[in-house]
Amino acid sequence: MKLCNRKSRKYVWRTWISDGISGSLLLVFLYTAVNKLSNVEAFSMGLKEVPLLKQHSEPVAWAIPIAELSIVLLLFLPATRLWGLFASLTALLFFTGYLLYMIAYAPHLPCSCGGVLNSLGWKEHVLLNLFLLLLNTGALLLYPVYSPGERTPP
Amino acid sequence: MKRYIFSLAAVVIVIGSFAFNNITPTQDMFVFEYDPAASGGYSKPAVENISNSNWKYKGKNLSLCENRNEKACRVAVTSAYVNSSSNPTALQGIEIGATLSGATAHVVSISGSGNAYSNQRD
Repeated sequence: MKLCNRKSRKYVWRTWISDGISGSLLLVFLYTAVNKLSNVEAFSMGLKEVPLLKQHSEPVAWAIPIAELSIVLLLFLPATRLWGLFASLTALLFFTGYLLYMIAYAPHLPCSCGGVLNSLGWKEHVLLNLFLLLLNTGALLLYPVYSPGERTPP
Repeated sequence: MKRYIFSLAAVVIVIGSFAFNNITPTQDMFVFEYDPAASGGYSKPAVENISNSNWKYKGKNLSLCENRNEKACRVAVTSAYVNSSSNPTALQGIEIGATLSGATAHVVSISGSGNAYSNQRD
């Protein structure tokens, strides 16, 4: 009985930490998605300066915020939160890869204007992404996985 | 229900930040961004040159840059200083002043009332 209580308490704090991190990631994805959708035209123009995306900037300008909103939905619902964490990890890896590619190969880095993150330069953005990746990985490692028949904490 | 607390808090923060920050400007501001690729880098004469190959139109009422005075970034002008308010492609009737800091020039002045400029880090 004592062992069962200790196990249950462990599940509760792991749930709280992973839910807290999921909430922070949800905040980041929702803010950036709404920010892009509030001025799709400007976002599309910015994508035209990205060597890999310039030919498909318009559909990509819609696809990225829609993908971000899908991640928000997955993170919002407890039933799909684990999938949301995997999806956000994938998105962050792609975005960090894009930033590193731009820093390494773009002859002139375009202005990273807009949103709450406009005070960040490209290198600071990479550092922020690495921090978010670390948080995301932590949430996945802490995410409580219950064996069949086990009661989940309320 | 407890498992929705952080998600709901995040949604409320985002809605709040957009509700309080998105104030509609009293007049449209036309935003142009300096294009170093087309104008051959960040030299002082190139930044001061208002031709549409150096300063490219980006859109109306966009946010300006971080304003670190290291290299040119964006200017925002009223409709009196663009070639066409319905289809703007170039700046007109303004003077942009720049100064060199290290190897790159940044904007230090812009003529015309209501116009604004911003720079970015190198």
